Amino acid sequence: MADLQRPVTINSAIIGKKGTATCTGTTLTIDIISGTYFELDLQNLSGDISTFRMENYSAGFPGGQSYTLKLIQSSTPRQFTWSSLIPQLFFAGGSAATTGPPNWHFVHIGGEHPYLSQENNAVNIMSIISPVTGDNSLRDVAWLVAMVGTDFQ
Amino acid sequence: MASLNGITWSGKPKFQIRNPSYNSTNIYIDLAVGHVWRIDCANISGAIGNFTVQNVPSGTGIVSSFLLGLIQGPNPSTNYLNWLAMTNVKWAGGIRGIQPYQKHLVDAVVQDGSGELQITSNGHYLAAPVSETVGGPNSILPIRFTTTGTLPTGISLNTNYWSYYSSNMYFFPSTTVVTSGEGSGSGTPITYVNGGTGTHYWHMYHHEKHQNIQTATDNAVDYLSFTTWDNGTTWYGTVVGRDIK
Repeated sequence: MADLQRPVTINSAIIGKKGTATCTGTTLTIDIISGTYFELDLQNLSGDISTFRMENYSAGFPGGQSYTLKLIQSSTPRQFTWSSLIPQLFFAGGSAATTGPPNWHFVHIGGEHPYLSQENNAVNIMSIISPVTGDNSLRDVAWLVAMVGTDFQ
Repeated sequence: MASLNGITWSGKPKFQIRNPSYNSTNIYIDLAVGHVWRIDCANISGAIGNFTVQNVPSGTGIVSSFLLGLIQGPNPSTNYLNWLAMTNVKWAGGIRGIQPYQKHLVDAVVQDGSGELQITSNGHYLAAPVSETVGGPNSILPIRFTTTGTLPTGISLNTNYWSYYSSNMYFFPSTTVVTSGEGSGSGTPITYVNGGTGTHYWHMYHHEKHQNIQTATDNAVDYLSFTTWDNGTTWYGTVVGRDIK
């Protein structure tokens, strides 16, 4: 993986890759190494999102990672069950699953849980920033979630 | 074009600020030459209604973005970027320049002494105490309700309501605009039947969808972010900051 240790000047567009993401039952799954943008139609869910699964997570990554979710609301409105939701992380290579520290959790601006617009096909975009792995402070366990916007039209 | 499959920014990325080209009808952003853009609206003439992004990277499974800074000119009412006309740009809630709404928890739905439906929402701040007799500035703006279950009878999804202010602990929803304070009869209260089921929320519903995005003050600086998930057909616009100073 490239590590740009000196300032770099960028004079054109920055392109991100859409990663692999699925939602089935009440589980939302993203392949965290496959991209930085994930687009999901919540229509396939059978209930609110109670499991947030991130695959191919790299615990040795020397810093925070951020990615963006674009969520299209289903005809039956779905939400995240933030109060009980924890990140479920799976390492690359199909190694044993781990749920990490028991106090891993999502945090939100002002402590307000982001709420998806309920209208069918409404576009909701949110940003998630991972903890700084390798740091033994509280930053190690909190995943920051911020709503970029809801119901884009 | 370099393709970095995973990148660590140990150094600081820098972006050269570019000035978009424009005429009386179009503004042009060329992504082949820049990621950060800035335009001084003192130099534009008329209402520019077309937002043209050139050289948008195209391909399967990619997302592109850029930043645009706007410096307000001395004549914002005549010389401006007409975001309403730029239908290829989508905004949260359809609102140009207002941050996404924030939901607030309904603590309880109860019946007051007059049989009206009363919403308890601690610290709702829908109107300042001093405006109780004339309706606060927020009371003329609609609110909407959402729920994890079923809303109380008399309240529906995707429907505007207005509020009677009573305290920062509770308010009374009205089905019509409230132009003066509680007790004056200017609103239409809802008769309490039940409190519904599940957890209820309310949020401000800004109906001025086509509000000009920019701060109106001369030389005010606003920054916007644009992202496309479909190779430039649709751009999702968000406000990074307004009136930055």
